[in-house]
Amino acid sequence: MTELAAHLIRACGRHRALFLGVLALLGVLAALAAVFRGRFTNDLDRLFPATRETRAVFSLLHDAHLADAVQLEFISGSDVTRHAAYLEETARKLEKSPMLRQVTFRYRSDDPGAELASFVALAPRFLTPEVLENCSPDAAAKNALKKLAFPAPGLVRQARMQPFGWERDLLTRLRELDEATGMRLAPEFPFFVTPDRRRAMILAETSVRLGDADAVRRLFAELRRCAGPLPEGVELRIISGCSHTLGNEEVLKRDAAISGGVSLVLFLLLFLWACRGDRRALWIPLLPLYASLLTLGAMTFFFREICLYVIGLGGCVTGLAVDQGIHVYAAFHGGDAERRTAALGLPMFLSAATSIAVFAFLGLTGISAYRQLAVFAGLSLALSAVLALTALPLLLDRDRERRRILPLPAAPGTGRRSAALIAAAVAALAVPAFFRVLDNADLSLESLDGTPEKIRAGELDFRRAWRRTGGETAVIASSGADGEEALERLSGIAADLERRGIRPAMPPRPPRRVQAANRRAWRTPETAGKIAKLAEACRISCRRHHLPEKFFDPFFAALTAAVAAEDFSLPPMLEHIDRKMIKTHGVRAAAVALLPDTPENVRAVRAVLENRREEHSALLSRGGFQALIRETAGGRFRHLLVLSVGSALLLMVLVLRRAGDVLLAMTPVAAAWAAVVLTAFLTGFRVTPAAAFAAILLTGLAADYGIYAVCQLRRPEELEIRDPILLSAATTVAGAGALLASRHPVLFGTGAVLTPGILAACLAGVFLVPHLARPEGKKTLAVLGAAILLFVSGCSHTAPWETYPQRELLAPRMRLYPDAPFRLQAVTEASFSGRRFRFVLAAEIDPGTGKVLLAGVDPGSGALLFDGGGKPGEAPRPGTVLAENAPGGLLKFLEALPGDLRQIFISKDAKPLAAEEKTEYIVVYSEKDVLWLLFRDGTAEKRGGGFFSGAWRAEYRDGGRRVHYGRRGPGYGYSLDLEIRKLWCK
Amino acid sequence: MPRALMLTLCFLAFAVAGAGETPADMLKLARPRVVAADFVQTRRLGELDMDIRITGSMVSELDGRLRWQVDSPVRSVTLIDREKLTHFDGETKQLAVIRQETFPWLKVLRDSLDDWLSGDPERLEKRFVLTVPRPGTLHLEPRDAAQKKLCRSVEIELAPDKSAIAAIRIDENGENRLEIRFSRVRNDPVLTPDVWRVPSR
Repeated sequence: MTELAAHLIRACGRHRALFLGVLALLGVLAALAAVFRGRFTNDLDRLFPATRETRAVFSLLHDAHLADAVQLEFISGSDVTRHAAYLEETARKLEKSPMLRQVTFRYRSDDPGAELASFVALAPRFLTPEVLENCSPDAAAKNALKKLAFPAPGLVRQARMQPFGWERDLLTRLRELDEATGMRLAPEFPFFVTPDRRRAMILAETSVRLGDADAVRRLFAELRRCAGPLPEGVELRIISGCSHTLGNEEVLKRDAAISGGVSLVLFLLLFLWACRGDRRALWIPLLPLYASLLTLGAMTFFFREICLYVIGLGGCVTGLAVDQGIHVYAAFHGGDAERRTAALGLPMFLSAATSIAVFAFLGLTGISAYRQLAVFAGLSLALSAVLALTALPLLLDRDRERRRILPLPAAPGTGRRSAALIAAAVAALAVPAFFRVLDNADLSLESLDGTPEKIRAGELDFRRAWRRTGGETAVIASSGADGEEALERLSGIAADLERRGIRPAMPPRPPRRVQAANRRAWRTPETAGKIAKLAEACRISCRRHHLPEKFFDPFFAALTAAVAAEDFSLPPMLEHIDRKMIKTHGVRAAAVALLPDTPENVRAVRAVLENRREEHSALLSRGGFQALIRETAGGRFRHLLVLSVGSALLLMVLVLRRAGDVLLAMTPVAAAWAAVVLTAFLTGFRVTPAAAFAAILLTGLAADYGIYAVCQLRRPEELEIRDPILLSAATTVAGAGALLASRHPVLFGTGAVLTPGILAACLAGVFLVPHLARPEGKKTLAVLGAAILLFVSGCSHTAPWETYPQRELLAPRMRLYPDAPFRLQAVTEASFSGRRFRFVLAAEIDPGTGKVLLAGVDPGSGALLFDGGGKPGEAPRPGTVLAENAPGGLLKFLEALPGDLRQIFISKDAKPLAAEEKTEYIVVYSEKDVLWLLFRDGTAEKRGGGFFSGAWRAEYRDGGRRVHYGRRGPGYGYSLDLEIRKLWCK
Repeated sequence: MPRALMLTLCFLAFAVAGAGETPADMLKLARPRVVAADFVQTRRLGELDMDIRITGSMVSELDGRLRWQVDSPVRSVTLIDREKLTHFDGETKQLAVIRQETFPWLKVLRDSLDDWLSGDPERLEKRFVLTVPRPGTLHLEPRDAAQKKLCRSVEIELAPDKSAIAAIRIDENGENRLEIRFSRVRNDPVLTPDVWRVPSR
């Protein structure tokens, strides 16, 4: 490798002008190709496999316009409804704005009774004539009498217009929708007002693109113009996704000013200190940039569209190549400059090859963006390495004055052993800290949002004021050529979901095709005859119940008119909801339905969409998105990550040919990770996706330090790595350290990982690796290994149960319940599907046969909620009061309950096998894949069904009188809290 | 919902409070305007051969308000009036209000209560077969199949001096029964307005 490098350097030196000329020409061609051939995109769907589901999710995210909403909130110290006229006027002004559409202030008419009465006009479109079969004139008259007996205004009209309760289905749909949206409104007002009347709202949608900060600024100015002048004592707050664009921009501007300024000053100082103002040193960062340009130009010939964020990420990766230039800069001086530079060939090749190997495997994911990243990063790194070896020497001055970065003695001092031992202890401490930091990680997309706290606090306040408490809402969206096609598609999905016991909150009207078909059926002579017959029967019933004979005539008149009508108009409230749920602007129309974002619902909706092979429908929800990432992307990466790290290690073994040297080369990586993990552990820093990406860069840089350090040990006379490693670490820390002053989580996360990591890796590469390579260093290596093993094994040992000294004391703590058949009564709270319900559990448990008989009783009224059970596999039945309306989730809960009670109360089969002492508890391993954690404070925990944390977990307090039981997915998950009031043997 | 349905049956009992030897006599007798009492509910679980005890107190007004307070095994207060059902969970301190206009079934419930509270024998006869199996006990058997699913029969037992209700027994399906036994029954007691408010959190 060294020979090849020397040959290359000599050849380029001989043809200096030609070589540099070719490079310049290639650069121009690449720039032209990038400008004229390159097509760039920012579509995030390229980050996911090109499956049906990802295509649908990303196209529906665009079509459903969910991010277009703008809410103008008017907050008043007194009754905001006094300003209704002002709000009305503001809504009119907003309607005229070209930047807004669908401005809504009034969502229903002033008279809700009239609106309710107008529902009869919808009957021939929303219902089939079969409803006529179930109409009882007698019941209608009686109900009318009941209504009339109630002293409330408006009931006469309601009684006359709604004799048969046809509106109930529609009202149920509206109630479901109200529950799904969870909006808190004062129902007495026809516009959006909170129940305390302190806040009012105008809703709108904007066509402004979310990421366009200038357009967002113009939009906000327009909104303030339309809303001004505000009445005295009224404050305007704009709630919109657009606020995040401006917020992020504001934070980034501040961060760029501070971090950019600090790092610029540090870079200048470094440049003046290390390079003594040698301007040729500027070629060091320019060559990787040039390599990136060449790669980009080449990529335009292979990829139809190039992702801009890939270029950004790839650029960061190419930053690794700056270190190669620093090594060449340090080596290229004096008469034997070529020889020293050629000696860098092996470590440079190896460090570039390991990085390329890691990225090359990304190309195998089959995901467009990662394939591009693999090509971009791999090719840029390879070109940078070649250019650093061949072109950089041509551009440097070999006769410049040399200067050491840090004037440290080269001989090992007496403190080095101590330092090495401290480093070993730190690395060992980092192992348990790693798992804690991993537990604390926040890998959500929100963790990348740098919106200032003020805006977040405003949004939280808005949600508290306008939304009832409850879980997250998921959206099922379908698109189509027009709104009707979208609604038809959505209705088909809803029908499939109802067969699975899930009823999403749909737009309140059927598709127009269905409406038209219904109306045709109402226009047949048979139906007309039935209506006439019913009207006559109603007259007779009214007479019989002493009501005016024509009492229901307005209903029949409205019904007849509606049957003859041709329009598809809706009452104001339905019209408002329809416009919100069926979006017809844009290239494709979209219709949406809502449902709670629970794991069961996510699973069911995804299964239905999969069965229907839906290309134009998708589940848009936090839970759904997480499941999508986990299933479509997560699995691929796990295997490829292992493969890529394995191949990088294999490459090192093949080149270095000694396992010990590979371990030495990996020492800076371990030190870097230990430093990062301990810093995160001590400061409470949460790992984000940005920090994870920075950790990949850190690994690459630290591995390079290790490779150079090992190569120097082999050829100490030709290689001098201390100065270049210190300089490259200093440049990285100067950039990354300045990011610690940032407020944006992406920048801060990058700085928080790179700063301590690079410092530790640099010190390990310069001091620890040479020390470990010496004979006395072997002892340190042994201490390091032992310490890590000690912590991995939990600072304890496992002892067989038969010989464990405390077994007599521990055994009763695991025998919480009798082995003979026993009975119990417990106040129980179950939490599932985001809901909680309490009941008194009565159970008879036979540990011998595993038979569990149980019943649940409502603790207030004594109503029987469910009873039954018995042998394994038998589920209790819902009681009469629950049977008709039992949601699907409840039935699944009942199916699982007997099995879970067995896990909680029966332990006799789980014979203890071994015990192991930990700091806070003693672990007792048992048969049947069950383990007990017996805590010092008397709490006991039983886990089972999984290797590490278990698929279920029962925590016992007060000697088993209070139990918390949790059951995790992927099956049906829920938790139970039991407070046992009575327990006795049969 | 189950709570509301069961409480409805208690309304029924106080609607017919009074004493007589035939159903018509019992229904015709004057009823107090307000009844307050302590209760012990015993839920009989047939299959498990086990009883569950629920204790508390109640106040029922003739004009349709009911306070149902449970003290054990968990604490809760339920108030039903013309517009809504208010439930206060004493354990979690959470309040749930179900309004008639948002939950149509609450209206259906109210309509049934109206029938019962009217004490009109004709209206009750339409819903139930009324018999007096033994002195001081009124037996009601639903006529409607849907109601029969909820309870096979209801028995109202009067105190020996026939001034108050001693117990209500609801037979659900032969095996599962609910008995509500009343004690310290007070007719037209002096009530503070707090009775119709949920406890402060």
